[in-house]
Amino acid sequence: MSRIELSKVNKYYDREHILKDVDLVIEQGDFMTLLGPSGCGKTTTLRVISGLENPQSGLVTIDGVAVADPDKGKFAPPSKRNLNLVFQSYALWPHMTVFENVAFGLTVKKEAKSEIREKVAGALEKMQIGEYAERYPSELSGGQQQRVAIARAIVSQPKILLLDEPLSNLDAKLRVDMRAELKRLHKDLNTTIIYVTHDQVEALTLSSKIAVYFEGVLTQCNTPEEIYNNPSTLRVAEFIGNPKINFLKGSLKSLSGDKLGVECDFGALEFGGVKGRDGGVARLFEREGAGCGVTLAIRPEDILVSQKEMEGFFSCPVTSLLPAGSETLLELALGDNQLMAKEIGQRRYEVGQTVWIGLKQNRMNVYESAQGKLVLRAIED
Amino acid sequence: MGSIAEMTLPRGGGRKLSLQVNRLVNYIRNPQNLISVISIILLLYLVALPLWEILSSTFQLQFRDAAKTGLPEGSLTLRYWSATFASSISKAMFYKPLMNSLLISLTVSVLGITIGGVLAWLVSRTDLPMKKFFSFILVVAYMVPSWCKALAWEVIFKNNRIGGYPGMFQAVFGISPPNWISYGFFPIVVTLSLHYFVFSFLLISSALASIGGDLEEMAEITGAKRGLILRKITFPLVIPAIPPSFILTFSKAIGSFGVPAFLGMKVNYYTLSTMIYANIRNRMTTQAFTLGIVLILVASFTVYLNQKAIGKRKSFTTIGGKSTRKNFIKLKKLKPVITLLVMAFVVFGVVLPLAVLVLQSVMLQPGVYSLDNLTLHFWIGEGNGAIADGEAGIFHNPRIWKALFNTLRLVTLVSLIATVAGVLLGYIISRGRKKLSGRFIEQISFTPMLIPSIAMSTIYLSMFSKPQLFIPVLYGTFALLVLISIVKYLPFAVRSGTSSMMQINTELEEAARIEGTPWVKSFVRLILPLAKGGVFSAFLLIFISGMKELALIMLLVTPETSTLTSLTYSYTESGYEQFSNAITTLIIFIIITVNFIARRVSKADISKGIGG
Repeated sequence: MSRIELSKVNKYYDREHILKDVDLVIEQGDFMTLLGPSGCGKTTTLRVISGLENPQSGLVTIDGVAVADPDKGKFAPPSKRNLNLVFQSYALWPHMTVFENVAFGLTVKKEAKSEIREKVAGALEKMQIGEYAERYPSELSGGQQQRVAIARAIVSQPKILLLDEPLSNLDAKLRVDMRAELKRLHKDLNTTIIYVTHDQVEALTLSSKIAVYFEGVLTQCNTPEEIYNNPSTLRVAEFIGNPKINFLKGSLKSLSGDKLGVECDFGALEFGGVKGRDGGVARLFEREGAGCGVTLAIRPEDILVSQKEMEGFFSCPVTSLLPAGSETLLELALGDNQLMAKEIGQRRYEVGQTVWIGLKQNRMNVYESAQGKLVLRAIED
Repeated sequence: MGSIAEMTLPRGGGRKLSLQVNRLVNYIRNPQNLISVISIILLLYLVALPLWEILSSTFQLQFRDAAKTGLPEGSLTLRYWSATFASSISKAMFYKPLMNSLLISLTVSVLGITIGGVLAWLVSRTDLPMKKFFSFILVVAYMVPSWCKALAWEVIFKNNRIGGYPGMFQAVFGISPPNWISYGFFPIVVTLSLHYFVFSFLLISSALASIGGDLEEMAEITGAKRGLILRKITFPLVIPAIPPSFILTFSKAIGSFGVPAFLGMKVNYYTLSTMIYANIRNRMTTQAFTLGIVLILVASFTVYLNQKAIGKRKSFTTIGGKSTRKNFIKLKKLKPVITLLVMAFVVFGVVLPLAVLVLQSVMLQPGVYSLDNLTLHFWIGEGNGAIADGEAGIFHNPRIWKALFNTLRLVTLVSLIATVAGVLLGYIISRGRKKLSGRFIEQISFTPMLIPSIAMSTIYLSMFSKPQLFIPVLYGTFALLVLISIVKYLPFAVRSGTSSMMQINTELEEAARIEGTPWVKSFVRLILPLAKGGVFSAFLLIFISGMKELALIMLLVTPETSTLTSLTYSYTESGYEQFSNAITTLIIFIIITVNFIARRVSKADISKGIGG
């Protein structure tokens, strides 16, 4: 078991408030990704878990045992937390060979020489870098250095593996390879992995859970699917997904029974099944009444495009065309809104041509514009 | 350029010749090549030729000895070298001073690296309080000339056995310090170490700064203890900074003149550099040259050894990580003790010498420590026959005003010219690393670094006491001081120029060239502004070094061209220490003021330049 729990954790650097009341639970075997733009506190969270930084208030427990308890002034040193870390810079010791780098932790623990040799060889084998054991880090490529850093982290079979933007220094192709490698590693080792990144594709590909941060606040923590389908705020919605999600401005018009009406500058929309997908829209309507500003969010792939006029579709001109081989992106002007639609395969359109688009109302999330909070959830179509 | 070639193309044999002429014209027309050619000629003339002159003169019979031996002047002889290596005076004149020099330099290097390393670690890695203050004051330690610390030592620890008045220590405690404390090896090593530790401090500090904290954190995660991390991670990573610290300290220490002169010569404790001086004083110039050559060889050998010592494979530039370390190592219980120790070091190494100098400059009778002995005579007194042979206080003394004027004129000119030369040569070197001319210029402009000041001034003394090619006799002129100082500081200037230029991408220039900007214009408008910071730091560093320079110019000054430092030395020699102390105080005041203003006006930081 290794359940990590952070509750009401606050961290300051001098006067700067880095982590603000962070609550986070990481279950045994999770691949938890901490995601957010740079400077949002994700690396600091990692360092607090590792014990390299101590929070000023809150509580951190691993398996129910407090490892950082500022109120009691109790902090377990990193080496007593049964975890290991891969730094963004890899932090390989340049004056030691690959073997010495990987073996260092074991020699510190004074394990028998033969055992060390065996374990190091095993770790290097797992990372497929056995042949480089006698090289110095400067004699390796970036990708190989990366593997050494991971081998060093897993050789002591930690229960928790912390990875701080490990792929950000690799080129695009290697990055994709390493993603698959990390996923395999997670399965093989059966450890808890906490992974820090600002790359949302990485997060969506790898994780079993994602925690999204903005400015020291943990905004949403859930599975990748949930985060992609129902971002809890406009900010999360905008951050996740490539190409970006589309926003449409509108205002509440009516709520009767299960149906919600929204007025936009290009026409009216109606949402059904409100009770099943309500995230507070009924209360909002009660409080603010008709006219309350909302923002509709729809993913580019949920916009249907037709060359012919169709029932319930809106007409709009194509302003730009971005073919990308396997998919075609269309930029459209709908009323005052700029929209991006995505179609699979290669489609032929002309810039300036008028098309008709259908917005899948089930696939739309509705946010209250003022607070940016999700009030109506998207559901399966 | 092609058009010239076409226009002047004659037929037949002349064609080949004119092609070559055109090639030459084209080559020279390129400003970069022109500068290369001119600087190679100048450097050969000012660096290589003097070395050759001094070497060859030691094998030629000199005029003085020609009459004695009956052989013609200039005939080939080994007498000077055999006098140095194998004669009845060899031991006193060569072997002992050589041993002393080596022993002093080695001890100073070891002590300097140890002190500098420990201080660097404390300042950059632990929670030592008042770090900013300490780093600042430690660098100030370097701005105080080394011989001024020797003067202060003498004032405190002088004993009455050597003659003259007793030192402060004896006056206060009534105990006469033994000779080994007052003069010779021990005080020389202590004062030099208190001065040159700054090199190691700066170099090791920057090495520590370049080691990302993550390397140490990683070791911490594996459960390694503080001591183990220090031994296995931090220390090995700092090792590359040690050879350069060693070269700098050793070569500076072995060439240092002021300190062994003040603290050694009175008890006949000689080093190579003071022996060179003594020989020249005794008109044994050629003998002095042989010693100078040995000194150069020793200095070059150290550099060679150091280059060998750094293994290829393990040499690494630290893989830069983001330095996330905001956690300093806690000194815990030791904190007050260590803070106190560092404080004591600062007080004894920096504050006390300065205080002693100031105090000494206001004492009418040296060695008499009572209130009624205090006077401002040496600062503002009019000439008075009863005191110091009627020498007026430094603010009323025309000699000192003249020296002040000379000094400022000298250092300003030198730092200006050397900096400009450094930028130009740095440009040529950085853009011509792959060309022979670039590498050659780099090597030869570094050479003066290996020539200890005193040896260099002996060379220039002999070389310019007769007309040279197109240069008239320069001995006794101000121009000679300027010339030698420029050459001496060239390595600094060129190195800083090269590293500034390396940081400027050639594409910036190429972008300008494509638009048709002439080279000179792109150099002035693009390169210089971008290199501004580094250039200004180099200027400042040379200015400050020049203010402190003693050994380089001491043999070359005349009463007309004397500088503040040379006056200090002559006042000390004639026993008017209060004047020396007052002038030294003035020098230090100027240095600190200039540095302060420079830091205010720009971001120039001399501490970045000292080490490099």
